[in-house]
Amino acid sequence: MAELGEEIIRLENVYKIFGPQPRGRAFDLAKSGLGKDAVLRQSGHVLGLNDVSFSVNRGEIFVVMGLSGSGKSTAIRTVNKLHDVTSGHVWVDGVDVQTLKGTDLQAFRRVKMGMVFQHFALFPHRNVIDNAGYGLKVQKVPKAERDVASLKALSLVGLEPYANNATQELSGGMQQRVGLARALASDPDILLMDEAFSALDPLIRRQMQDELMVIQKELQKTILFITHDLNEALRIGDRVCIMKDGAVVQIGTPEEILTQPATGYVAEFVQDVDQGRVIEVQEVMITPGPIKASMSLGDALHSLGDRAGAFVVDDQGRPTHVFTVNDGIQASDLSSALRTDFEQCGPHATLNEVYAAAGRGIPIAVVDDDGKLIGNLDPRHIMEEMGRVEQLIDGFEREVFM
Amino acid sequence: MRFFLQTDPGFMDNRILDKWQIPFGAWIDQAIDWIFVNMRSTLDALAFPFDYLIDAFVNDFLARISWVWVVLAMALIASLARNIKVGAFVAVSLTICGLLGNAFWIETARTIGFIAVAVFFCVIVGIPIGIASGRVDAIWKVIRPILDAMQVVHSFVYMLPFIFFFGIGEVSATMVTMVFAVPPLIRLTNLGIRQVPGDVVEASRAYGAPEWRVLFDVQIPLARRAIMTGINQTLLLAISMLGIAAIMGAGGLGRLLFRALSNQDPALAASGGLAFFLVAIVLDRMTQREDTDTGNLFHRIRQAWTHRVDVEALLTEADATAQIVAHEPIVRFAPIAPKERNLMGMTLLGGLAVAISVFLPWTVDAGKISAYGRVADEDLAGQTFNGMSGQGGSWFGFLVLAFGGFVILAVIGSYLRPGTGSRWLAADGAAIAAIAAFVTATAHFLAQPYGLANDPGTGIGVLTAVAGGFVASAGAVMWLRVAPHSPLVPLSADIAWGRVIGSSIAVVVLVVGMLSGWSYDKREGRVFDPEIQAQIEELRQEAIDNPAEAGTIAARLQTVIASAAQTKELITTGAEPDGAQLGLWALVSGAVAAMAAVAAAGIPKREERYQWLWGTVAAGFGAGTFSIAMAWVFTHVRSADPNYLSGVGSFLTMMGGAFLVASTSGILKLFRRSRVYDETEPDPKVHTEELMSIGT
Ligand SMILES: Nc1ncnc2c1ncn2[C@@H]1O[C@H](COP(=O)(O)OP(=O)(O)O)[C@@H](O)[C@H]1O
Ligand SMILES: [Mg+2]
Repeated sequence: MAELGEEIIRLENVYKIFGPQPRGRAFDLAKSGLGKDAVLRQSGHVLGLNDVSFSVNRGEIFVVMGLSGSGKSTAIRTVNKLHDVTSGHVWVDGVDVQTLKGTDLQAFRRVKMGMVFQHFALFPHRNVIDNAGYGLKVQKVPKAERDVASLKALSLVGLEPYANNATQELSGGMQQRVGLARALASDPDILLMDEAFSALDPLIRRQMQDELMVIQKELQKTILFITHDLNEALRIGDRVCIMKDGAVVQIGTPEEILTQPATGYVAEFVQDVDQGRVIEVQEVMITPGPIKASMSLGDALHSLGDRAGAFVVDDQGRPTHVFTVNDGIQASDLSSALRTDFEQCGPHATLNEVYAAAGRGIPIAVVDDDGKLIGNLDPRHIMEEMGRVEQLIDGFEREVFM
Repeated sequence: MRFFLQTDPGFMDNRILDKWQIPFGAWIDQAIDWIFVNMRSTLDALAFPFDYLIDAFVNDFLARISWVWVVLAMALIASLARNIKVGAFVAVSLTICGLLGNAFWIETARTIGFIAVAVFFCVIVGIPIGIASGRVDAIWKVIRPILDAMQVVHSFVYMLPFIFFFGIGEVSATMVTMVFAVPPLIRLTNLGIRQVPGDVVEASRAYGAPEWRVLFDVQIPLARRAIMTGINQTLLLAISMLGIAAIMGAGGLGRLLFRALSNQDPALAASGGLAFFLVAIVLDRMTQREDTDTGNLFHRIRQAWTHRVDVEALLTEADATAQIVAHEPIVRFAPIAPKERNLMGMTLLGGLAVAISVFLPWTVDAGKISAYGRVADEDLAGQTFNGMSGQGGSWFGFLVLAFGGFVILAVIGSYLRPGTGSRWLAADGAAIAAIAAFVTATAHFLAQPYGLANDPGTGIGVLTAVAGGFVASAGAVMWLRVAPHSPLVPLSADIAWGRVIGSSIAVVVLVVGMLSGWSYDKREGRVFDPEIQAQIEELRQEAIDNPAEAGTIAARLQTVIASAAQTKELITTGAEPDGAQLGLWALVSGAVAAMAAVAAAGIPKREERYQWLWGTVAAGFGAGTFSIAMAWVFTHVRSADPNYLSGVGSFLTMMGGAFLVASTSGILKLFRRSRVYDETEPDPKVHTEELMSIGT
């Protein structure tokens, strides 16, 4: 097994032009740097992908995000050669996919990747378990063996009890679970998911996102995920690639996209995002700097500096009490100013999750898995952070539109 | 030389057209000659499969083997391809075709064979072309204009080259039928393949399926509905081509009708037409899709013709129906209460008695009904005949057995799985069959025997049938009163005047039927010259000496009598005492049915379930009325002298009875066994949500 984190998919200067003569004038125009609209106007060809390059690392969820028609589906389809590219290379595990043909291509698709479709694309004349086992069937795995693997995949998505149902009897969310199980059953390294959750209603979509992340952690699959929903992209993506008119606009972690939008176009997107959902506590917390219970009130107040408060920790480093400026000024000695009713959270909690707790004005203790204090979360910083991004976008808006 | 002598015609002179004539016809003529000379073997190779199948399969096999095998095979195919109901329908229809006579049967078999061969070739050629067109745009671009041309040009036009190359006969008839009938199949297959959702096809490819797998795993199964519709359309068009095929020399019912037209023979035309119609319906039903099991044949053929180019219309309509069917909720039906079970037991007992009765003696010493049509039935002293023998119950017995069997089936069916299966396997179905059995048996019992030397007597079988029928009817009607049935929609509060008028008309028809001839006897007034008289005496004596041979002797006697010259015809009505008076009893039964039908129409106003009850009674007596006349007709078809025919009165009575049944079955169909909704049963949707919350 290859190393996690090593590059597994790479698109290298990929162009895809739709039309009767993709390699003709349209291609020259595209290479000369013209955009999709100009190419269409001047050559009548649709520029599906315009010099797209990105790479996906093993074991990550890489999300391609963009508005409808921005070329996301075209991009993902070049990876399993459902589309031929006009120019450029698509490398998967060191193989130039676009050079594969016939049985080689089929064999490659069988073992390397599973695909999940926006409208599920289940086989309506097969029941759930046979849908899940389709990839294995194509691989000529005997039925008994295939069913074992299919059931395992179905159990991953919680659909084991429905193995013998017809797919039409299931709700949309369940149908997409079957689609996911179909992709997982043959245990490929890569999952290609084209708007997999876009057809589901928001509640189910969130559940599916959560489940996908759980499954991904467990199975360490590489997931190339397509969506037009930035919230979804930022929520599940380890890295996000934003596309517009067939070209890549920005690639980065969700935080980078949010905090450093590369262009006004991205910023415009970011505007609609609920920031608190993406920014994690660990980016806002400050170093703990605990105080000792034996300190005098004055020393304690002094060591707070401009912090709203600080924690007292026990010998394992776990926070036991909190000391705030407010309590300090009113109390006569340190022990009477200490309180225990503070909130704790992990470093990966999002700002939204701690927002309510922050409302009390008392610092929040950020602890690691052992309960050791690793950070001090100032309620004022949370408010500030959430406001800061707003301002950032306002700034872009002024820049772009005025 | 003459050109130079004559003055040339001027440009405006029409004779110039001859001078500049384009010899198109001659070219074609030469081309045909060339093809004949140089491509003989190709033509033969083309004709061979058609020739072979028509000869070996149709003429040497289907038309030769026993009709029983053909009927059974067709019924079996229909049951497997569709369902048992269609299978039974096929069996009955083809049996009727056979009973029209051997000449009609042979043509029926040849028609079935001809259509089967034509459709077979259409399938062999059409589906692959359709699939190729559906998958490859370039092929469709070529095929499509060819199909358009095939469908625009009239079949009379392309008939000619086929006749040139393959001669008049079944081969060219099959080919022309194919040209006419295959385009919708190609179009629908193409459409079906194209309608398969792109992402499902892509899913198959994305999992590494080779193209043949994409085709067989996804495209063909998902195009199945369209392809089936296409086969059905092809068949309908092939049926509509039978006339032209007959002109081109194909055998079958088409030729029979053609002959009937040119000879102006109404009997041939009527029987041939009936057989033709039945064959057409049978073949159509066998190839219809599950969800389109409706529509009358002519409408369907017309539709096939109108939509032969824009085939999409055929699909969308059918698919819309399919959607509705698919979303019917699954529910349980009301279980059987103890009281209901007891009454079902009573009904079953009566039904069993009815069924057993036909194995018991119905007549003794002579035939009863059959004696009217067969002089020989007078001389059967010392013999007894059961409910199914020609001289015993004959078709009265058959029908009584069928009704009794249905009663048994309905009781057992609704006991095992109440509410499911056929809608008629319920209390009302049982009651209708039981009443019909009762009426039929009673009619046989009450019928006036032919004035014979020997009294046919009243066998124990008839009495058993009457008693059993009564018990079953009473049981079924009481069962019906407790059965938890309810209407699917609230019944209209208004009186159904249509039904009242309908049943009144039926009664009028029955009266006319009673007063019309039930028998048409051409044997009377024969001149028996001494030679024939001597033969008759001799045979009589032989029969008395040798009772074991009575049956064969009777048949010989009949032939001798029939050979006598005939001077007059005798018509006997359904009421007069010289006849069996079955018209009278049929009218009585019909009148009861009509009164019940009036009650079912809501006069006087009672609660809904009474309409169901009276509707059932009306349908039962209506079916009984029908059955009396049918038994009369078929008993004579089975055993009568060819000079003794059943009359139009019996036919009218059949119509009246059928009318009564048809006019009341509408209301019955609204009633179904009530459903119960079980609260504790897991609703799949609720379950889903639970599961999802566990998953997260
Ligand atoms: N088969 C095709 N033929 C012509 N144009 C296409 C084809 N597929 C996609 N396109 C065009 O390419 C562009 C990108 O499409 P797509 O990748 O499907 O967008 P997205 O998935 O981001 O909505 C669109 O403008 C679309 O119209
Ligand atoms: Mg898309």
